[in-house]
Amino acid sequence: MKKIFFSLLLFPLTMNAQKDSSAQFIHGHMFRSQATISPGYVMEGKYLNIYLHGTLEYYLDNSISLRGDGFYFLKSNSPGLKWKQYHSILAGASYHIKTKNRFDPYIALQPGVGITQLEYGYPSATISSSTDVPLGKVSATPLISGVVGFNYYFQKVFHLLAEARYVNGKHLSDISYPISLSEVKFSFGLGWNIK
Amino acid sequence: MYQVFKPKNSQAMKNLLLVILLSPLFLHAQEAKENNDKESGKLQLGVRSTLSSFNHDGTNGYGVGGQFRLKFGSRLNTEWFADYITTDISGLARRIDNHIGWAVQFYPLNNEIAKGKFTPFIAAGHCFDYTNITKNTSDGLSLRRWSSAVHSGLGTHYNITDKFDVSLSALYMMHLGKNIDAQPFEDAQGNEQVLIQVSDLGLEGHLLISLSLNVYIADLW
Repeated sequence: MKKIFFSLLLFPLTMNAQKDSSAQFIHGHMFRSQATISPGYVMEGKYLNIYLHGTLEYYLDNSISLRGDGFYFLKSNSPGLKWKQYHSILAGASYHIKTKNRFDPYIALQPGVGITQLEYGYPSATISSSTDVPLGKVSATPLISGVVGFNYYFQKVFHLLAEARYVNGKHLSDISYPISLSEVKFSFGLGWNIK
Repeated sequence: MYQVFKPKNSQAMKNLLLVILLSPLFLHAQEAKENNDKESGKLQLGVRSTLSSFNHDGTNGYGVGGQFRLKFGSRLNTEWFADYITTDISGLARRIDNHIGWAVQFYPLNNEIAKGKFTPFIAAGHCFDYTNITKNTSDGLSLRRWSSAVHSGLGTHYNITDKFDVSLSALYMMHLGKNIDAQPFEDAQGNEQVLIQVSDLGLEGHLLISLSLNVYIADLW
Protein backbone atom coordinates (compact mmCIF):
# COMPACT_ATOMS: atom_id res chain seq x y z
CA MET A 1 0.00 0.00 0.00
CA LYS A 2 2.83 2.36 0.94
CA LYS A 3 4.66 1.55 -2.32
CA ILE A 4 1.58 2.30 -4.41
CA PHE A 5 0.99 5.56 -2.52
CA PHE A 6 4.63 6.64 -3.01
CA SER A 7 4.49 5.80 -6.72
CA LEU A 8 1.39 7.91 -7.17
CA LEU A 9 3.08 10.87 -5.45
CA LEU A 10 6.15 10.70 -7.72
CA PHE A 11 4.18 10.02 -10.91
CA PRO A 12 3.64 13.74 -11.92
CA LEU A 13 7.42 14.29 -12.01
CA THR A 14 7.67 11.98 -15.01
CA MET A 15 5.05 13.82 -17.09
CA ASN A 16 5.84 16.28 -19.91
CA ALA A 17 3.66 18.38 -22.09
CA GLN A 18 4.70 20.32 -25.20
CA LYS A 19 4.00 24.03 -25.47
CA ASP A 20 0.96 24.81 -27.63
CA SER A 21 2.63 25.74 -30.92
CA SER A 22 -0.66 26.60 -32.58
CA ALA A 23 -1.13 29.73 -30.41
CA GLN A 24 -0.52 33.24 -31.79
CA PHE A 25 3.04 34.31 -30.97
CA ILE A 26 2.41 38.05 -30.52
CA HIS A 27 0.76 39.28 -27.35
CA GLY A 28 0.36 42.36 -25.21
CA HIS A 29 3.39 44.07 -23.58
CA MET A 30 5.81 42.73 -26.21
CA PHE A 31 8.55 45.02 -27.61
CA ARG A 32 9.84 44.79 -31.15
CA SER A 33 12.71 46.62 -32.79
CA GLN A 34 14.59 46.53 -36.09
CA ALA A 35 17.16 48.39 -38.18
CA THR A 36 17.69 47.94 -41.90
CA ILE A 37 18.65 49.66 -45.14
CA SER A 38 15.54 50.73 -46.99
CA PRO A 39 15.23 51.83 -50.64
CA GLY A 40 12.50 54.29 -51.64
CA TYR A 41 11.13 54.97 -55.12
CA VAL A 42 10.01 58.58 -55.58
CA MET A 43 7.06 58.49 -57.93
CA GLU A 44 7.05 62.00 -59.38
CA GLY A 45 10.76 62.25 -60.08
CA LYS A 46 11.17 58.52 -60.82
CA TYR A 47 14.36 58.12 -58.81
CA LEU A 48 15.62 56.09 -55.88
CA ASN A 49 16.52 57.22 -52.37
CA ILE A 50 18.35 55.05 -49.85
CA TYR A 51 17.67 55.31 -46.12
CA LEU A 52 18.69 53.75 -42.87
CA HIS A 53 15.37 52.63 -41.32
CA GLY A 54 14.77 51.96 -37.63
CA THR A 55 11.59 50.87 -35.83
CA LEU A 56 10.48 50.67 -32.22
CA GLU A 57 7.15 48.97 -31.53
CA TYR A 58 5.09 48.16 -28.43
CA TYR A 59 2.18 45.72 -28.57
CA LEU A 60 -0.87 46.82 -26.57
CA ASP A 61 -2.46 43.43 -27.21
CA ASN A 62 -2.48 40.89 -30.05
CA SER A 63 -4.33 43.23 -32.41
CA ILE A 64 -2.97 46.75 -31.86
CA SER A 65 0.58 48.01 -31.44
CA LEU A 66 2.08 51.48 -31.20
CA ARG A 67 5.08 52.09 -33.39
CA GLY A 68 7.61 54.77 -34.24
CA ASP A 69 9.81 54.73 -37.34
CA GLY A 70 12.80 56.81 -38.34
CA PHE A 71 14.37 57.14 -41.79
CA TYR A 72 17.87 58.60 -42.09
CA PHE A 73 18.70 59.72 -45.66
CA LEU A 74 21.90 58.25 -47.08
CA LYS A 75 21.93 58.93 -50.81
CA SER A 76 19.85 59.45 -53.93
CA ASN A 77 20.19 59.04 -57.69
CA SER A 78 17.80 61.88 -58.51
CA PRO A 79 18.65 63.47 -61.88
CA GLY A 80 17.24 66.99 -61.66
CA LEU A 81 17.57 67.90 -57.99
CA LYS A 82 19.84 67.15 -55.07
CA TRP A 83 18.78 66.53 -51.51
CA LYS A 84 21.07 67.75 -48.77
CA GLN A 85 18.79 66.22 -46.12
CA TYR A 86 15.66 64.10 -46.26
CA HIS A 87 15.16 62.44 -42.90
CA SER A 88 11.80 61.57 -41.44
CA ILE A 89 10.22 60.46 -38.20
CA LEU A 90 6.78 58.86 -38.09
CA ALA A 91 4.54 57.69 -35.24
CA GLY A 92 1.32 55.76 -35.32
CA ALA A 93 -0.23 52.36 -34.83
CA SER A 94 -0.45 48.94 -36.47
CA TYR A 95 -3.44 46.65 -36.70
CA HIS A 96 -2.39 42.98 -36.59
CA ILE A 97 -4.50 40.40 -38.38
CA LYS A 98 -5.21 37.43 -36.11
CA THR A 99 -3.35 34.23 -36.85
CA LYS A 100 -2.78 31.03 -34.91
CA ASN A 101 0.96 30.84 -35.39
CA ARG A 102 4.18 32.87 -35.58
CA PHE A 103 3.16 34.73 -38.74
CA ASP A 104 2.17 38.33 -37.99
CA PRO A 105 0.66 40.29 -40.90
CA TYR A 106 -0.32 43.90 -40.25
CA ILE A 107 -1.37 47.24 -41.68
CA ALA A 108 -0.26 50.53 -40.14
CA LEU A 109 -1.01 54.24 -40.35
CA GLN A 110 1.55 56.83 -39.32
CA PRO A 111 1.54 60.61 -39.51
CA GLY A 112 5.00 62.16 -39.29
CA VAL A 113 7.45 64.93 -40.10
CA GLY A 114 10.18 65.08 -42.73
CA ILE A 115 13.31 67.17 -42.19
CA THR A 116 14.04 68.25 -45.76
CA GLN A 117 16.67 70.48 -47.29
CA LEU A 118 17.63 70.94 -50.93
CA GLU A 119 21.09 71.58 -52.28
CA TYR A 120 19.49 72.52 -55.58
CA GLY A 121 16.04 71.91 -57.02
CA TYR A 122 13.66 72.70 -59.84
CA PRO A 123 13.60 76.36 -60.93
CA SER A 124 10.47 78.05 -59.71
CA ALA A 125 8.37 80.83 -61.19
CA THR A 126 10.32 83.36 -59.16
CA ILE A 127 13.81 81.84 -59.33
CA SER A 128 15.30 81.58 -62.80
CA SER A 129 18.20 79.34 -61.94
CA SER A 130 18.21 77.46 -58.68
CA THR A 131 21.90 76.62 -58.99
CA ASP A 132 22.75 80.31 -58.55
CA VAL A 133 21.28 80.51 -55.07
CA PRO A 134 22.72 79.24 -51.81
CA LEU A 135 21.69 76.04 -50.12
CA GLY A 136 17.96 75.80 -49.44
CA LYS A 137 16.61 76.30 -45.96
CA VAL A 138 15.78 73.32 -43.75
CA SER A 139 12.04 72.65 -43.75
CA ALA A 140 9.79 70.59 -41.53
CA THR A 141 7.43 68.81 -43.94
CA PRO A 142 4.26 67.09 -42.71
CA LEU A 143 4.01 63.49 -43.90
CA ILE A 144 1.47 60.70 -43.79
CA SER A 145 2.23 57.06 -44.47
CA GLY A 146 0.43 53.75 -44.79
CA VAL A 147 2.22 50.43 -44.31
CA VAL A 148 1.53 46.84 -45.26
CA GLY A 149 3.84 44.12 -44.02
CA PHE A 150 4.46 41.05 -41.95
CA ASN A 151 6.77 39.70 -39.28
CA TYR A 152 7.66 36.06 -38.87
CA TYR A 153 8.85 35.12 -35.38
CA PHE A 154 10.99 32.10 -36.10
CA GLN A 155 12.87 32.40 -32.80
CA LYS A 156 12.20 33.58 -29.29
CA VAL A 157 14.04 36.91 -29.78
CA PHE A 158 14.45 37.23 -33.54
CA HIS A 159 12.04 37.68 -36.37
CA LEU A 160 12.01 38.20 -40.10
CA LEU A 161 10.33 41.37 -41.33
CA ALA A 162 9.14 42.66 -44.69
CA GLU A 163 7.04 45.73 -45.37
CA ALA A 164 6.06 48.21 -48.05
CA ARG A 165 5.27 51.78 -47.11
CA TYR A 166 3.66 54.64 -49.05
CA VAL A 167 4.62 58.13 -47.88
CA ASN A 168 2.94 61.33 -48.99
CA GLY A 169 4.04 64.90 -48.46
CA LYS A 170 5.20 68.04 -50.26
CA HIS A 171 8.47 69.88 -49.69
CA LEU A 172 8.00 73.66 -49.90
CA SER A 173 11.27 75.36 -50.69
CA ASP A 174 12.73 78.82 -51.07
CA ILE A 175 14.93 77.70 -53.96
CA SER A 176 12.66 75.44 -55.94
CA TYR A 177 9.20 74.71 -57.15
CA PRO A 178 7.33 72.55 -54.57
CA ILE A 179 8.51 68.98 -54.70
CA SER A 180 6.22 66.00 -54.20
CA LEU A 181 7.55 63.52 -51.68
CA SER A 182 5.20 60.70 -52.73
CA GLU A 183 7.34 57.65 -52.32
CA VAL A 184 7.12 53.88 -51.88
CA LYS A 185 9.69 52.47 -49.44
CA PHE A 186 10.57 48.83 -48.92
CA SER A 187 12.13 47.30 -45.83
CA PHE A 188 13.32 43.75 -45.32
CA GLY A 189 15.54 42.19 -42.75
CA LEU A 190 15.99 40.84 -39.26
CA GLY A 191 14.43 42.29 -36.17
CA TRP A 192 14.47 41.42 -32.49
CA ASN A 193 11.77 41.21 -29.90
CA ILE A 194 11.42 40.97 -26.14
CA LYS A 195 8.40 39.28 -24.53
CA MET B 1 -34.05 4.71 15.41
CA TYR B 2 -34.16 8.01 13.63
CA GLN B 3 -36.87 10.52 14.22
CA VAL B 4 -38.36 12.41 11.24
CA PHE B 5 -39.32 16.00 11.73
CA LYS B 6 -43.06 16.49 11.22
CA PRO B 7 -44.72 19.96 11.42
CA LYS B 8 -47.44 20.05 13.95
CA ASN B 9 -49.96 21.21 11.29
CA SER B 10 -50.23 22.51 7.67
CA GLN B 11 -50.69 26.11 8.91
CA ALA B 12 -47.09 26.22 10.12
CA MET B 13 -45.94 25.08 6.68
CA LYS B 14 -47.97 27.81 5.03
CA ASN B 15 -46.49 30.46 7.32
CA LEU B 16 -42.99 29.26 6.53
CA LEU B 17 -43.68 29.39 2.78
CA LEU B 18 -45.04 32.94 3.09
CA VAL B 19 -41.93 34.13 4.93
CA ILE B 20 -39.70 32.61 2.26
CA LEU B 21 -41.72 34.26 -0.55
CA LEU B 22 -41.67 37.69 1.13
CA SER B 23 -38.00 37.60 2.11
CA PRO B 24 -36.74 39.33 -1.13
CA LEU B 25 -38.63 42.47 -0.05
CA PHE B 26 -36.23 42.84 2.86
CA LEU B 27 -33.13 42.52 0.71
CA HIS B 28 -30.94 45.56 -0.13
CA ALA B 29 -27.99 46.05 -2.49
CA GLN B 30 -25.72 49.05 -2.87
CA GLU B 31 -26.42 51.37 -5.78
CA ALA B 32 -24.32 50.70 -8.92
CA LYS B 33 -21.48 53.16 -9.44
CA GLU B 34 -22.67 55.75 -11.96
CA ASN B 35 -21.30 55.41 -15.48
CA ASN B 36 -20.37 59.10 -15.30
CA ASP B 37 -17.91 58.42 -12.48
CA LYS B 38 -16.28 55.52 -14.35
CA GLU B 39 -15.67 57.56 -17.51
CA SER B 40 -14.45 60.74 -15.81
CA GLY B 41 -10.70 61.19 -15.62
CA LYS B 42 -9.77 59.03 -18.60
CA LEU B 43 -6.68 60.35 -20.41
CA GLN B 44 -5.87 59.55 -24.03
CA LEU B 45 -2.84 60.48 -26.12
CA GLY B 46 -2.73 60.58 -29.90
CA VAL B 47 -1.26 61.75 -33.20
CA ARG B 48 -3.09 63.26 -36.14
CA SER B 49 -2.92 64.17 -39.80
CA THR B 50 -4.76 67.31 -40.87
CA LEU B 51 -6.15 68.70 -44.10
CA SER B 52 -7.00 72.39 -44.26
CA SER B 53 -9.35 73.09 -47.15
CA PHE B 54 -11.67 75.80 -48.46
CA ASN B 55 -9.02 78.36 -47.59
CA HIS B 56 -9.49 82.01 -48.58
CA ASP B 57 -6.89 81.73 -51.36
CA GLY B 58 -8.34 78.45 -52.67
CA THR B 59 -5.39 76.29 -51.65
CA ASN B 60 -5.23 73.18 -49.47
CA GLY B 61 -2.83 72.75 -46.60
CA TYR B 62 -1.51 69.48 -45.15
CA GLY B 63 -0.39 69.06 -41.60
CA VAL B 64 0.62 66.86 -38.73
CA GLY B 65 -0.03 67.21 -35.05
CA GLY B 66 -0.86 65.64 -31.74
CA GLN B 67 -3.47 65.82 -29.03
CA PHE B 68 -4.45 64.57 -25.64
CA ARG B 69 -8.02 64.04 -24.42
CA LEU B 70 -9.30 64.30 -20.88
CA LYS B 71 -12.81 63.07 -20.15
CA PHE B 72 -15.09 64.82 -17.66
CA GLY B 73 -18.08 62.53 -17.89
CA SER B 74 -19.64 59.80 -19.96
CA ARG B 75 -20.93 62.35 -22.50
CA LEU B 76 -18.30 65.06 -22.20
CA ASN B 77 -14.73 64.96 -23.41
CA THR B 78 -12.09 67.65 -23.95
CA GLU B 79 -9.39 67.58 -26.61
CA TRP B 80 -6.20 69.67 -26.41
CA PHE B 81 -4.29 69.76 -29.68
CA ALA B 82 -1.40 71.24 -31.63
CA ASP B 83 -1.07 71.23 -35.44
CA TYR B 84 1.65 72.15 -37.88
CA ILE B 85 0.21 72.83 -41.36
CA THR B 86 2.02 73.84 -44.55
CA THR B 87 0.30 75.25 -47.65
CA ASP B 88 1.74 75.83 -51.11
CA ILE B 89 0.47 79.05 -52.68
CA SER B 90 0.75 78.32 -56.41
CA GLY B 91 4.50 77.77 -56.13
CA LEU B 92 4.95 81.51 -55.41
CA ALA B 93 4.83 81.48 -51.62
CA ARG B 94 4.49 79.04 -48.76
CA ARG B 95 2.28 79.38 -45.70
CA ILE B 96 2.90 77.74 -42.35
CA ASP B 97 0.17 77.65 -39.70
CA ASN B 98 0.81 76.54 -36.15
CA HIS B 99 -2.40 75.86 -34.26
CA ILE B 100 -2.61 75.33 -30.55
CA GLY B 101 -6.06 74.96 -29.07
CA TRP B 102 -8.77 72.98 -27.40
CA ALA B 103 -12.24 71.66 -28.07
CA VAL B 104 -15.12 70.26 -26.06
CA GLN B 105 -16.66 67.08 -27.48
CA PHE B 106 -20.24 66.17 -26.61
CA TYR B 107 -21.59 62.68 -27.33
CA PRO B 108 -25.33 63.04 -28.05
CA LEU B 109 -25.94 59.50 -29.26
CA ASN B 110 -23.97 56.42 -28.27
CA ASN B 111 -21.55 57.27 -25.48
CA GLU B 112 -20.44 53.74 -24.64
CA ILE B 113 -16.74 53.32 -25.38
CA ALA B 114 -16.36 49.71 -26.47
CA LYS B 115 -14.63 47.67 -29.16
CA GLY B 116 -16.30 47.95 -32.55
CA LYS B 117 -18.50 50.93 -31.65
CA PHE B 118 -18.82 54.32 -33.29
CA THR B 119 -19.13 57.29 -30.95
CA PRO B 120 -20.22 60.39 -32.87
CA PHE B 121 -19.66 63.80 -31.29
CA ILE B 122 -20.31 67.52 -31.70
CA ALA B 123 -17.23 69.65 -31.03
CA ALA B 124 -16.62 73.32 -30.39
CA GLY B 125 -13.57 75.19 -29.20
CA HIS B 126 -10.96 77.81 -29.63
CA CYS B 127 -7.36 78.00 -30.79
CA PHE B 128 -4.43 80.35 -31.31
CA ASP B 129 -2.81 80.43 -34.73
CA TYR B 130 0.73 81.56 -35.57
CA THR B 131 0.90 82.16 -39.33
CA ASN B 132 4.01 82.71 -41.39
CA ILE B 133 3.77 83.42 -45.14
CA THR B 134 7.06 83.58 -47.05
CA LYS B 135 7.67 84.36 -50.72
CA ASN B 136 9.58 81.75 -52.69
CA THR B 137 12.32 84.16 -53.70
CA SER B 138 15.98 84.42 -52.80
CA ASP B 139 15.24 87.36 -50.44
CA GLY B 140 12.52 85.30 -48.72
CA LEU B 141 10.25 88.24 -47.75
CA SER B 142 7.74 87.12 -45.16
CA LEU B 143 4.95 88.25 -42.89
CA ARG B 144 4.12 86.68 -39.52
CA ARG B 145 1.17 87.12 -37.19
CA TRP B 146 -0.56 85.62 -34.16
CA SER B 147 -4.34 85.37 -34.38
CA SER B 148 -7.20 83.75 -32.56
CA ALA B 149 -9.92 81.49 -33.98
CA VAL B 150 -13.05 79.62 -32.95
CA HIS B 151 -14.12 76.33 -34.44
CA SER B 152 -16.97 73.88 -34.33
CA GLY B 153 -18.02 70.74 -36.18
CA LEU B 154 -18.72 67.05 -36.07
CA GLY B 155 -16.72 63.89 -35.75
CA THR B 156 -16.70 60.32 -34.59
CA HIS B 157 -14.48 57.86 -32.77
CA TYR B 158 -14.25 54.24 -33.83
CA ASN B 159 -12.88 51.92 -31.16
CA ILE B 160 -10.76 49.19 -32.69
CA THR B 161 -10.18 47.89 -29.17
CA ASP B 162 -11.43 49.14 -25.79
CA LYS B 163 -8.24 51.20 -25.38
CA PHE B 164 -7.52 52.35 -28.91
CA ASP B 165 -9.57 54.42 -31.32
CA VAL B 166 -9.38 56.04 -34.73
CA SER B 167 -11.14 59.41 -34.91
CA LEU B 168 -12.26 61.53 -37.83
CA SER B 169 -13.47 65.09 -37.40
CA ALA B 170 -14.35 68.09 -39.55
CA LEU B 171 -14.21 71.49 -37.82
CA TYR B 172 -15.02 74.82 -39.41
CA MET B 173 -12.52 77.38 -38.14
CA MET B 174 -13.20 81.13 -38.19
CA HIS B 175 -10.39 83.54 -37.48
CA LEU B 176 -11.22 86.46 -35.26
CA GLY B 177 -9.96 89.88 -36.23
CA LYS B 178 -7.23 90.38 -38.81
CA ASN B 179 -5.16 87.65 -40.40
CA ILE B 180 -2.52 87.50 -43.11
CA ASP B 181 -3.14 85.97 -46.52
CA ALA B 182 -1.43 85.64 -49.89
CA GLN B 183 -3.00 86.57 -53.22
CA PRO B 184 -1.37 85.39 -56.48
CA PHE B 185 -1.76 87.77 -59.44
CA GLU B 186 -0.26 88.55 -62.84
CA ASP B 187 1.70 91.76 -63.19
CA ALA B 188 1.72 94.09 -66.19
CA GLN B 189 4.50 92.05 -67.84
CA GLY B 190 2.49 88.83 -67.47
CA ASN B 191 4.72 87.47 -64.68
CA GLU B 192 3.17 85.56 -61.79
CA GLN B 193 3.47 87.49 -58.54
CA VAL B 194 2.07 87.16 -55.05
CA LEU B 195 0.81 89.82 -52.66
CA ILE B 196 1.12 89.06 -48.94
CA GLN B 197 -0.95 91.34 -46.72
CA VAL B 198 -2.78 91.71 -43.44
CA SER B 199 -6.50 91.52 -44.10
CA ASP B 200 -9.78 91.30 -42.26
CA LEU B 201 -11.35 88.07 -43.44
CA GLY B 202 -14.71 88.82 -41.79
CA LEU B 203 -16.67 85.61 -41.28
CA GLU B 204 -14.60 83.63 -43.77
CA GLY B 205 -12.97 80.55 -42.46
CA HIS B 206 -11.66 77.20 -43.51
CA LEU B 207 -12.42 73.56 -42.91
CA LEU B 208 -10.03 71.47 -40.85
CA ILE B 209 -10.36 67.71 -41.37
CA SER B 210 -8.37 65.55 -38.95
CA LEU B 211 -7.69 61.85 -38.81
CA SER B 212 -6.24 60.81 -35.48
CA LEU B 213 -5.07 57.68 -33.69
CA ASN B 214 -5.59 57.69 -29.93
CA VAL B 215 -4.65 55.37 -27.09
CA TYR B 216 -6.00 55.34 -23.55
CA ILE B 217 -3.08 55.72 -21.17
CA ALA B 218 -4.37 56.50 -17.69
CA ASP B 219 -7.23 57.11 -15.32
CA LEU B 220 -6.37 60.35 -13.53
CA TRP B 221 -9.18 60.21 -10.96
